[in-house]
Parts: sequence; C-alpha cells; structure tokens
Amino acid sequence: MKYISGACESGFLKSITIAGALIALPMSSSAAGVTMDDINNDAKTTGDVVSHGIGNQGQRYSPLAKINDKTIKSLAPAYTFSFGGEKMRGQEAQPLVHNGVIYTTASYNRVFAINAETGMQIWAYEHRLPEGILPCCDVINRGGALYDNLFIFTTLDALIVALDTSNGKVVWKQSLGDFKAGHSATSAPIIVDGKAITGVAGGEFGIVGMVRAFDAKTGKLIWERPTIEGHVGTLNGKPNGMTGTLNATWPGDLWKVGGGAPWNNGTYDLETDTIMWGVGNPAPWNSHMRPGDNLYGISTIALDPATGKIKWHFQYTPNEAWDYDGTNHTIAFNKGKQKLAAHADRNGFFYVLDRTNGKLVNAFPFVEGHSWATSIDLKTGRPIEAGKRPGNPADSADGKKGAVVTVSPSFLGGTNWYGPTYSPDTGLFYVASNEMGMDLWNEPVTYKKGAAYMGAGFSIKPLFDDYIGAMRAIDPMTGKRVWEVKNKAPLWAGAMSTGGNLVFYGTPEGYFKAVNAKTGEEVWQYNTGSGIVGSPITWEQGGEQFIAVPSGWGAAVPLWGGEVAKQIEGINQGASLVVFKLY
Amino acid sequence: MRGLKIKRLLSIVVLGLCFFSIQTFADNNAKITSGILKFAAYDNFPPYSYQAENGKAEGIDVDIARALAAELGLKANIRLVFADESLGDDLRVYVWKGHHVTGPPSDVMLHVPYDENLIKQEDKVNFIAPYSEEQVVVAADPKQLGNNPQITAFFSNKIGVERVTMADGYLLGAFRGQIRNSVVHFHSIVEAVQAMKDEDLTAVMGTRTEIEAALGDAKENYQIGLMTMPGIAKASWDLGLAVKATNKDLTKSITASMNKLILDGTIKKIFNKHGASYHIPAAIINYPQE
Repeated sequence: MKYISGACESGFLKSITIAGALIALPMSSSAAGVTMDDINNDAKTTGDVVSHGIGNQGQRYSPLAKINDKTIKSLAPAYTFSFGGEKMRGQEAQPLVHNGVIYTTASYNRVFAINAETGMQIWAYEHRLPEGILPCCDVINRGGALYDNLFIFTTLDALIVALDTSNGKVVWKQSLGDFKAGHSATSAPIIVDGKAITGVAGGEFGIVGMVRAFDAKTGKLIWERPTIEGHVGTLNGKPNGMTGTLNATWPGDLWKVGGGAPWNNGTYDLETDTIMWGVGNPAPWNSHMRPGDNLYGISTIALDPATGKIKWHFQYTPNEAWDYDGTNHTIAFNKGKQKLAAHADRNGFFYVLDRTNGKLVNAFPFVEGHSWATSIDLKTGRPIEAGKRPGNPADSADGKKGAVVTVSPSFLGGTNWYGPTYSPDTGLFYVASNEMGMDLWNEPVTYKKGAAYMGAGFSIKPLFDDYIGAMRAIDPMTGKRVWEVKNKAPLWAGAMSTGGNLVFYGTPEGYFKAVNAKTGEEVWQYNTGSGIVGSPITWEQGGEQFIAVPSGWGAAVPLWGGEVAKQIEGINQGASLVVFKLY
Repeated sequence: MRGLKIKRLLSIVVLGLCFFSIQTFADNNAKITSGILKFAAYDNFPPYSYQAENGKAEGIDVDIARALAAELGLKANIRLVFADESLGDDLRVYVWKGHHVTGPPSDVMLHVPYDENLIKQEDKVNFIAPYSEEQVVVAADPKQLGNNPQITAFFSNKIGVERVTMADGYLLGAFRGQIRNSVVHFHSIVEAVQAMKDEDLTAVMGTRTEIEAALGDAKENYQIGLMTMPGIAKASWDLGLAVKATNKDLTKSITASMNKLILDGTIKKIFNKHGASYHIPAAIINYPQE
C-alpha cells in the first residue's frame, strides 16, 4: 500500500530473524549437512526426511512399521508446536527432519526450526512480503528442501531463498520473476545433483512458465527451461535450444504470453536420471482463442537434470478449456521390470506412463462424473472429448452470456496440488479425490482493471449430497478402486503410506486419520483443531517412530462459494504442527 | 442536441449542488472524521494511475481523486493497488471487505466501470459518479496503411494489443480467426504503442486514453478512431467510482462533487493535461429526464 501522504514503508526484500537459539541443537553442535546420498536414499532411510515427497520420486512412503495397524491405538500427540501470531492461514507445508531438528515453512512465508523431540523452537525466519502483493490463493507455502547446511524454499514474491539451518539467516536468494507482473512461488524446490530446482506460479497473468536450476550452495543460475513452445532455454547463461517447435501447436504470437506455469513441485527419478514436472494452463483462458494443442500446457515434461533439456513429454488435456491446471505430481514406480510413472490429473483421469519415453501405458477415470471426456485413447494418448467444451465467445456477438456447459470435474479438479502416495507393499496408489462439477459459460463482457474483456463465468457444485472428498486406493495397472473412504468436505492434503500397512491423511474437518492400507478400514483418528491442508511425514528418533502433520485451514477451497461452502462452514483457523508417537 | 445534453447535465449538477450545500460531507460521516478520504487506484497503469519516479502516485485518476477530495474539504490518500483477475475480486478486496494481506478496504475505488449489469451483480458496492467514457479505438499508421483503413486491413497487417483485453479477444475471434495470426501481444498499451512507433506494427487497438497518452507528441502522425468492428461485444463504457453499499452519505456527496467537476471543466483539463482527449460519460448524456 503506497500512500502518497504518509510514510511509504519500503519493506521489500527485507527479512528478519526472530529470537535466536532458545536451546542448543539436540544432537550435536557440529551437525553434518545433508548430502546428495541422504537425498537420493531418502525414501529408504528412516532417521530423517530431507526431501519433499519423502524421497525425490514423491512416493510419500516410509518403510517404518513400529506404528502399524495393530499398535496405532496407542498413537497420541507428543507435542503441538504453534506457528503463532495472527498469521493463522492455510498450512500446506510438508515438514522435513534432519539430525533431530524439524524444518518447516508456514503461512506468510515463515520458516521454523523445531527440536524434534521436545517441540521447542530453535529459530524462526519471517520473510517480509512486499507492500502491494496480493497472492491468488492464500498466503500458503508447501515446504522446502534441505541440502548441506541450507534450508531452501520459495516465496510469494517469487524468490528462492536459502537459509542457514543453524540459525535461520539468509545465505543466498534469487529472483524467479517480478511479483508485480504476477510471478509468485509456493512450491518446495527439489535438490538434484547439487542443484535446487523450482518452478514458478502466475500463469493467469500471462507469464510464461519456467523451470529453473540453481547451484544449491551458491544460488547461481545453471539452467532455465521455458515450458511453452517457441521460447529458448539457457544453460550457464547461453542459449540451450527452443522448447518445442515454433508455432507447431500455437497460433500467431500467443505463445509469447502463453502461461504454462509449473507452480507445483516436480519429482526426480534417480533410476532414469529424469526430472518430471507438471505444467499448468495455457493462456488466455478461452481455448477458442488459441486453436492447437498448446504445448506444453497441461503436460508432464521430462527434463535432463544436467542441462534442462526436454527428454519427453505427455500432454493430459490438449487445447485446455476447463481450467484443469494439471501440475499434479508424476510419481515413479516399478512393476516388475517396467519403469513406470503415475499421474492423477485434475482432469479426473489417472495415467500410467512408461517413464523411459513418456508413452502411455494405462489411463482410467478415478472420479465419478468425469464428463469432459469419455475416455483416453491408449494408442494416441489423447482424450475422447464429450462435446463439453465451453462455446466460442466470438459466437456471442450480441453481448449476452454464452450457453452453459455443465461438466465434471470442476476446475478445482478430481484432485489438486497435494501428493498422492504409493505403497510398494500393496502396489496401490492412494489418491485424495474430490467429486465436484461446474457450470461454465462465456461472459462476453466482464471487466478487468477497469476495462471490458471477454471472460467466463462459473459456479461449482458437489456431485453428491453426502460427500465431496474420497480417499481412494487405486490399482494403477487395472484401474480398480480397491477401497475408498468418503469425506464430507473436499480433501486438500497430502497422503503418506507406511510399512505398518497404514495410509495417513488429514481432512478439512481437522481429523488426522490412519486407514488400513489393504482394506480401507479407518483404524485411528485425532482432531487437530483446525482443517488439515498439509502433508505428513514420519521418522525414527531414539528408537521411537514419530509422525508430524501441519494443521491450519485455508488455501484455495474457502475462496470458492456456492454449494461447496456449505460443506466447510464452521471450520476454524489454526496454525500448528502436531507431532505424534506411541504411548 | 449538444445544448440539450448540457442542459440535462446542468440540472443534475444543480440538484447535486443543492444537496451539497446543505450537507457537508465531513461532519456527516463518522468514518471521515480524520479529514482524509482513502482512494484505491490501479498501480502501473499510465496515464490513469502509476507511481512516478519520485515515489508519488500520479495520473488522471489520481488528479481526479485529489480534485474530488478538495471539493469535499478532505485530503486524498491514494494507494496504488494490484489489478486482480477480475473486477469482482478488486471490489471485494479494495472496496467492501478487505484482505488479510492488503488490509482493510479504501473508501473509494477509482476507475470502476459504470455498467448496468455490474450494478445488478455487485450488490455490496455502489457504482457512482461516472466521470468519463472509455472507448476501444484503433490507432493506425497512415504511412503503412494509407488513410481510413478498415478492420479487414489486419488480415495481413500486424496489429498490437494488450493481452486479455476486449481488443485482444475480439481480434483473435473476429472473421473466424482470419486476423488471429496478425495480432501481436504486449503486456501493456505503452509497449504496443512503442512497437508501432518503431514500425514493427501498423496499428494498435485498445483503450483510447491509454493509446493517446502513450503516443504523446507523435499523436498527430497517426489516425485514431472508432473503426467499424462487426461483432464486438463492447466498444465503449463509462468509468466511475465504487464505494461500499452501506456508505450512503459518501455516495451522495461524491456524486454531487463529481458532477460539479465535470461541468466546470476540471475533469476535461485533467485528461488533457495527461495527453488524452476527454469524452463525457454516456450515463450523463443519456440521463433520463424526470
């Protein structure tokens, strides 16, 4: 807020570290930093969680089994850590833990280091957001990455920041774009071969999506890969080849402002040395204005971590028209000798790809409704559309509202940003899914920045009276839904599976739940006091298994009114990390 | 015709003035006891509102806010705000509700379209005091296109637009997409006009005020005007203010003062000072006789 009279605070880029060490580090005063081996083996090692997704491949699985379907009855809180203050907004983070210290982001780009045994704060970092910033979907952040002695995360004003894990002081920071032009960032970076790799948000403002790799120790930019065809990537400051082929799937010069924000975090598969990143909506919104597939909007792009070159891609929704902003995780898993990857897209279909070449192996709906397309052609990988594309605004020359299309899933998706989990024990994926449809129409005259333009109108509605959310166990090879647990409100949180035959996830109603991974039987729940939109982790320390989950309602769901609002009435704000162990 | 319009305008203004003379705004509204009227205007939006190099807010809307506040015996406090994806979002954040990041709303938002459908849709705000008419025009380079080009000239000649505007949407869809490949997209009219000056484009389509101001002294070298554009959904609209619906006193006082400023030529002078022509709002010209 820049007032012409009165002090104009120039808080941009300033940051402060609150209250230094309250207590000493619990393990050792010369704690070893996180190595690439630690990160590459994160899914197997149980003493720490040093990457988003509990391993870069994003399976969100831990082999820990002390807490299991038998012992879980005595699981109870060890402590609750409050993120405090008036800053109780959506807590979408996945915490990390290393050497007895939990590192987590919280709303408003705060970072906390917490003694993992006692829950006492070690340090807190508060990123001062610039005046005039207006985040699209709440002041959320999804977590950070650990490497060496650094905790690396991204901010709403589009910075990537590395903090010293011993004291929370800034070691380096780099810009991901001008926040005033609409750039923003909310996802956790991934660390691959000493590089901190991140995307950027802001496709709705016509920014062109970009995945960037920085030297994780120094912050030096190594490569950048634009997500939209026609733009040229760089490697060490030199041009490194065009993304796609100019004007192959985009008309005119629309690719220049083509969106495609990779706003969620990517995954990395060590076996094939491949980064897989989800790319969001092409712009502008209305598909009739940009005839063509609009690559690589709504695709997974597979990148070479050394150079940022695209190895292969798979597009889920060609010429996107429904706001299926499909940046969902693409998760590596093996079936016998097959190197596969799974992706539950916002468009309501679950895809299995050959991750060595991006070829489609299997695709099936994982939600009810899915009316925009009847199926996915397994030969071509393309959807068989069902005639539910919103009309061409050029056809509504009379200035009246266009025909209403009723279609499912809604733009909030069959699932959204949060990671599903894959259990190698059961061979099943567990996907938090939502059953919502929407009415969608062209609005030939809407206004933006005081000027008329051709926009769209929408309203979302639940498909069923008794539930919106459903945690589903899905066999990726057959498409069979092995079980499901329904939930009244939409599910908006990451899941975790463990060697104890359990699947953990949180609900907007505040419950942190454990479900039998094979049967779906609900075996345990605890109400954390506010809605859960964050992702749990588990680790072992001093011979005990701990589980941590952030609690704090917010993020995108409360923004949308209509029928869905009825299912989330009365959910209170909160902001805490709840940590459990067996008693 | 003209005389009639002005007579109508005058009658409204006189009514307004009478109202204003018996009720001074400041002591009628508890909210404004500070003597400061808080305005929200869009940031980075020349010539309407933007942050000048000295850090202060400048522009047509900023000057209108200052003139209006002075007329009301108040001081204008102007914050420059981020334009979100739709006007509804801006009204919620800056006029009637506020936001947990940007804080409480302002008293008045500038540069809000005055449109019958909006008035029906947005019941949380009052749309008041239309002060100018905005028009979608084409500025064409006669050196490249000759005199009086038609819209079909852009089947084969490059035309610049700001992305996600009426001009953009219209040209991408018009004539079954035959203009689409000639459309060159920019993040602002300022950038598009610069490209036309550099002869990378033959024309720019967009809002008249922005185009005129961006052309500056070069204006006389280009033909600026309303072109016949078959099928365009909206080629002109009025600009006014928005205040919270519950703030009835503010609504009345501001409307009266704005009408006075239109009639005494203040608003026209402000537009001209910033390099733009002035167009009286259609809502005033077409004001129903009572």
